[in-house]
Amino acid sequence: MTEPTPPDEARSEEPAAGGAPAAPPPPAPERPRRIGLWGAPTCGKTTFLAALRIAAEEGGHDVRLVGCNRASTEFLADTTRQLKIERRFVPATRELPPNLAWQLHGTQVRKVRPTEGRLRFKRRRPVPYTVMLDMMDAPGGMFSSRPEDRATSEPSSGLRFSSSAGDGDGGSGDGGGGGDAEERLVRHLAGCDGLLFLFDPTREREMNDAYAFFQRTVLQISELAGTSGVDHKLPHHLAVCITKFDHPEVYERAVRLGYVTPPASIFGMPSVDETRALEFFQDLYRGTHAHDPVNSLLRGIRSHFGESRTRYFVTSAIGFYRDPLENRFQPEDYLNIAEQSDGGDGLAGEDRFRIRGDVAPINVLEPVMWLAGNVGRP
Amino acid sequence: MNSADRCPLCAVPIDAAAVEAAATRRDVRCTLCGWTLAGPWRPGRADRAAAEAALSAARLEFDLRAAARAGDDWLPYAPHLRGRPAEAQWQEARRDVAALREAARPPLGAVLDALGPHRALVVVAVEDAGLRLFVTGGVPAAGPLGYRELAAVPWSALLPGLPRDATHRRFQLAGGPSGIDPAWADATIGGAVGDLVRRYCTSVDTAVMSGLPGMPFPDAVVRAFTGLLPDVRIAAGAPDAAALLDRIAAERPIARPYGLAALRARPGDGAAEVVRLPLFPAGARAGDEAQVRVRRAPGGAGQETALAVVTWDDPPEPVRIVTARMPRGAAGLVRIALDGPGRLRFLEPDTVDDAAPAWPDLLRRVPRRLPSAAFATELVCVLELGGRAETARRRRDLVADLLELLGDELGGTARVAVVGHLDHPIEPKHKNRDVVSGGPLQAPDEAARTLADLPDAPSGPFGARAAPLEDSLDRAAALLHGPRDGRSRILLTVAGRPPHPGSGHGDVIRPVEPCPRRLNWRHSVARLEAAGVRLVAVTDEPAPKDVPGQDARRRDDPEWDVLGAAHRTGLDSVDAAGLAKVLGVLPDDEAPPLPFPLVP
Repeated sequence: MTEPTPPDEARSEEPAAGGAPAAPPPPAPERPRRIGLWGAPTCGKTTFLAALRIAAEEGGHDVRLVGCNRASTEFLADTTRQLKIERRFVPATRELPPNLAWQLHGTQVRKVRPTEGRLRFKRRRPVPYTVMLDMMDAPGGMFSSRPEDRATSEPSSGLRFSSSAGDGDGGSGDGGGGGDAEERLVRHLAGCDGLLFLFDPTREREMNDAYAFFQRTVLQISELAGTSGVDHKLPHHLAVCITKFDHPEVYERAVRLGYVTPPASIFGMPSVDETRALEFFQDLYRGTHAHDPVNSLLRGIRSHFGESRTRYFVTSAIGFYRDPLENRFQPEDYLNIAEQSDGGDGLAGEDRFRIRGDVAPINVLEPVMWLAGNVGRP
Repeated sequence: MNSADRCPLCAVPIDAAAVEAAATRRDVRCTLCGWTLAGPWRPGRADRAAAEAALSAARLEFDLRAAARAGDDWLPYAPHLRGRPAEAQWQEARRDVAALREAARPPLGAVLDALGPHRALVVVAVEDAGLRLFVTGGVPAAGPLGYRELAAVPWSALLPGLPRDATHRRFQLAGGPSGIDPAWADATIGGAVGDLVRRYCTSVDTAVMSGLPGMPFPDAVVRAFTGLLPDVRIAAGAPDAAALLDRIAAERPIARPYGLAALRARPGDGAAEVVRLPLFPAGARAGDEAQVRVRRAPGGAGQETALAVVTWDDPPEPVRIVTARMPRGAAGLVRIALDGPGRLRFLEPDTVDDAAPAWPDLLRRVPRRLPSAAFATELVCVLELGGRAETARRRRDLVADLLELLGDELGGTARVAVVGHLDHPIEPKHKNRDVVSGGPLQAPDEAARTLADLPDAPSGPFGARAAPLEDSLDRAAALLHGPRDGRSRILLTVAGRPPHPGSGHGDVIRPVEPCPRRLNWRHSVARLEAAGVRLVAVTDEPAPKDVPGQDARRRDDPEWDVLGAAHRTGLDSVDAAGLAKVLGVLPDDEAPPLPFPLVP
């Protein structure tokens, strides 16, 4: 099974996190919107998901991330434990349960017209919402427009989930062939209301294939999804996440170009304000690459997704290292991963890097909340 | 001059006309031998045969006396005898000569003793071959042997006309018929002796000893010295004056101190210089022993070292030079027994070879500066204990082999510290745990024990990009500080991973976490360089070769350029011996061996 399990009626009747006002009674929750997580292999989708749970619990936002079924709950618990307690990246699991899906519950303050009473003016009220997060990941080459990539990465037994940093190869699924897998994946993404597209700058430097992953998939989505109704673009909201902000390659460039917002959180973590994320994205490779890969990608994004329905975030799943004594960000020592070796041919992806300190996600929950608050709107 | 102009008996020249004129009045006799040369006519019958028989007998008697002065047997002189003697005649001649022997003279040793310890004495020895002049006594000029030959004058120079043949010459020196006018001989000898006196005997005590006493011409030499030097001492003669002086000097104290030649770097400019390590002071006598420690030149395990005992003169003079193979270890013991001036017996090393280069040749081999291997060495071996287990073991083995080699070659002159580092703990709460272990600067053997006690790295993954080399470098900088005092200081880094940066993350593409203790390895290197430390690195991977069109630095950790500033090599391409040469603690194969041992 590859399709995320839709929320059942019981789940849809769950009270909204954060409590509801006493009177008048809150409006019924809206139909859960679906958010698809999308990105090239090794871009950190599973880590992003595990970090999302940590961010939901520790980031000061009134949200909950829960599994839709036992397998999804256990998966979330395991990955969170590995990331937070064991300080290890989530292994490149080969056999993931097929029906992984999660729900993010929260409340939003919206202007809502009361359904009862004499006065029917719109009033600002906290409105519970639930978004479905299902991460349908394909083998690495599946998103690629290069046939050779797709051929080498064709899953042997159909579409599957793969959530690790070294994800994207092989897998099991519902017995469909490679073509089925690709079709299911595209159909899944096309059916989502919002898409989280993860862009890993460090991977892009090495592989330079983000556009290849993007453009084929987006064309296939376009076949199925139609248009938004208000413009000729796809109806989806798109949150573009420039990941691995904690990596010196990204962070140092952001500092050098003046995009880093002075630390304001209790941990003193720097960040790039989302209002300047697009600008930083454009400047990410400016002057360093003969062919700026961001240009092609941005053109593709702007060509297929409405500008008002697209937002950019500079994110970090694990955040910066904090000295345990100082317990705050220190510019001279912020790298939160330590590369490991076994002296041989190399460690598996999850063992190659260890997390040095506490995990403190940066801008991980924000894109999801933005999508949750905006999907379904024009 | 025909035979009529010579005495028919002794063959000295005569004035025939004067003899003939005088003979009209009286018998005229040879002034030397007394033979009647001529006389007035007398009445009676002449007996020519009887006269000739008497002349023959007189000639034989004359010759036999010369032979008796010359030796104990007449046979060597038979070709020069005018006739063949009967045994009775020979014995009679010996008795006659013995009766004329001069009075006994004091021995030369007594003459020297009478002079005192620091007076020079020129000894003139009259010998078969001529004259030999020696200087002896407790003076530097006497040389390390206690005497030195000043000159040798053959008889041909003293008295031209004597035969070249030694036996024949001795026969004539002993009074055999030579045809030399005694007056002329005295004058000629006197002239030659005068030259010698002026040259060698002015203001110096002189002793004359004749090995040919009673012989006319040698006696003439003695008379000439006596005439020219009123205070000359006459000592009992000996056939071989040098042998006599040898025996006498052996019993006398040495006049000048003896020392063993060794090399050191001159304080100040560091130039190589030959110094003397004291062995025997002036006044030491046969039977004394002395010992001194020297350092075998590094790398000289298979080579022989010249052990040169020289005087404390300036310039020094060699007393005895031998070659020997010095024992293992840094400070080899040289023990010498004094058997007399110039007579040295090596007790340690017990096997020496007298086939040694000459002193000037040895001096020519002294380099302008000593190779760094010759200096006392302070070496800190920084060793990465972690990483791949098999590679870590090879690193350890290399350092262990090196320490063993240094123990053999340098012994205590090398002081070695071993400093090893494990990985920083990944757990932040353990980040300040000391990861460095090792010992102080100590002898190589002790350092080897420290090495054996260093911990092994735990199994499992380890940091891929860096190791706490900066912690070890900090320790090394603390060990190698202060004035160098001529010592060679070396930091040997045997590692696979570069140090953590002190702050920041280095290469943004492949970043690395900084040292949790914020140690900056560059600061440690600066301290080491300020202390005059040479930086040598043995890395798991060799330095990448320069490939046109490729930037080697992109494929290599730049830290090794600094830590291997003096030399860098790969772990696979070096052994302990090669590494010791790279470190400068052993000389290159091409380097010529040092001629002398080193000052310890």
